[in-house]
Amino acid sequence: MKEKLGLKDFHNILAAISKTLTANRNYLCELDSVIGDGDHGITISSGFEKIVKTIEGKDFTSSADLLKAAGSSFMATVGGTTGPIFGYFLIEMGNKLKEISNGENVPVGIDEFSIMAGAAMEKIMKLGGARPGDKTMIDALYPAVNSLQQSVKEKISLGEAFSLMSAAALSGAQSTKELIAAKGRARYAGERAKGYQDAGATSLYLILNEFNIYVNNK
Amino acid sequence: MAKKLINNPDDIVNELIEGFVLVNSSKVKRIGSSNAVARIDAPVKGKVGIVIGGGAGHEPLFLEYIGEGMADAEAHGQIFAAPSPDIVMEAVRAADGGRGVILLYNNYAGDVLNFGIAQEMAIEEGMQIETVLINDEISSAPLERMEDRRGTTSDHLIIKMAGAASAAGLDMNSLVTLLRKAIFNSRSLGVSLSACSLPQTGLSTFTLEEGKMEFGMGLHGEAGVKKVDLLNADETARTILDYLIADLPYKAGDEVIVVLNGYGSTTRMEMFIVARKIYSYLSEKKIIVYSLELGEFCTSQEMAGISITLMKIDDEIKRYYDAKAVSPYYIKI
Repeated sequence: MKEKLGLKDFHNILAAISKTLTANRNYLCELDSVIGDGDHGITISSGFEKIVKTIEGKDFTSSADLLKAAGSSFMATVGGTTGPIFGYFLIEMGNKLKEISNGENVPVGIDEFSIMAGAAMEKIMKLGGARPGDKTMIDALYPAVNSLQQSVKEKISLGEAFSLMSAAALSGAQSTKELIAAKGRARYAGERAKGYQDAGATSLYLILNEFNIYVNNK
Repeated sequence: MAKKLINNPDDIVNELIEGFVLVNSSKVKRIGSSNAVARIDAPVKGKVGIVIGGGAGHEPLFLEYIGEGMADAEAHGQIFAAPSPDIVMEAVRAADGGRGVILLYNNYAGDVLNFGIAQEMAIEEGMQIETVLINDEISSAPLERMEDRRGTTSDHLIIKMAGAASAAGLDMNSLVTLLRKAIFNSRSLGVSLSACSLPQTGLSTFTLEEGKMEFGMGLHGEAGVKKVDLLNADETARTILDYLIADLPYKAGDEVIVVLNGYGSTTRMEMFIVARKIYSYLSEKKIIVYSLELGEFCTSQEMAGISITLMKIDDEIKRYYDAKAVSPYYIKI
């Protein structure tokens, strides 16, 4: 089992994420239709399809550059709230990796990944102003980052850590069913939002779960 | 399922911009192959550039409001989704005539994010750039949280102020002050009679039961403040005006510009019937109507319903309101 992710791995994982989001396109639209305008599945899958096109056949010197290019391409394509939020998730992972590796192309283990995901979360919370409990993708990301930080302390393997991260993100996404939206357009749905899982949190879970699947070869 | 005359749903925005530029080829241009458009003579040297934009699906908003005396460039997003920072930057560069650029757009989370990132990019490029947010929709947040309110159907009036005052040579700071005053003086509220659908899917964004109407419903199906049994035209006008008048508040002796906006499938017949009640009710309240504009200024696909905007005016606002404006949709000579 892998303990470190390299450039090729990130490339493969981005492609796998794209496939998964496209396969879940209708499901994500359905989730969004109750409190949003029902296009989240279209938006996010087309953004990741564009990422795959952008990075295909291109030589990147580091995983950091790959992640930044992927995030920028996503943000330029998508717009809306999804563009900057999910775009910066990748861009900031890349920025942080670049910073902690002094610009070198270093393999990413659990320590690095945890720091990168934490930085991405901070950036997104600052950009969008969302906190845990606001019924956004942060409700999946926040427990996932906590889980990663716990795994770093416990010094467990990358595979185990990603499996726990994925489970935390899933239960976080599911917890949004009980919440009323406090951010974005969904907040106008008020009580109507209750009982429905947030589409963005679900996408974030699907994204993180591809890391889990890839490393654990499921 | 709503029936729409479209081709591939993925091409909607690209094709609508193509058509828009062909129809108005003497007045506007597309910036490369991007979803940004600009008035044909942009950038206009020596004036502050006005950049507007937002999600598609609300046409004539925003692209049909570029032109002389109106905005300089526009960033068009996907359906009901803010334009990406790259598109906004294309519009900013196209509008920059050397005296700075104002980003003027509606207060929605997605727009604030994308325009905000574009503003940071522009600052990094050394440009002088300011943001003015439109937040006239009174049901979207209470008065004490006015800054959280959405922008809606006062848009073209505010764009007109920006276009006229920038053409008159006002600098960035004076423009920002003027626009904030005009926005503060503007309050809007709408009522929906039936839902709009998302063109990509053809599905309704919400459902409104038979015989009901909803006040304060947003342009994207955001839930409103009050759902009631269908009122007639006069009662509807009075209900909306009561909410609006209390909000600023507008007082006896105030002079206002009124916008009576149709959301998409409400007929002009209905709007004229509403208009007469607006005149008589404001007259009862001794509020003076300087001008009433009736039309579809900000739509939401085939949503049925209307909105009313009141903008309190003073001499300065009046001067810029009366100035010449030539945009594809809005003309004042």
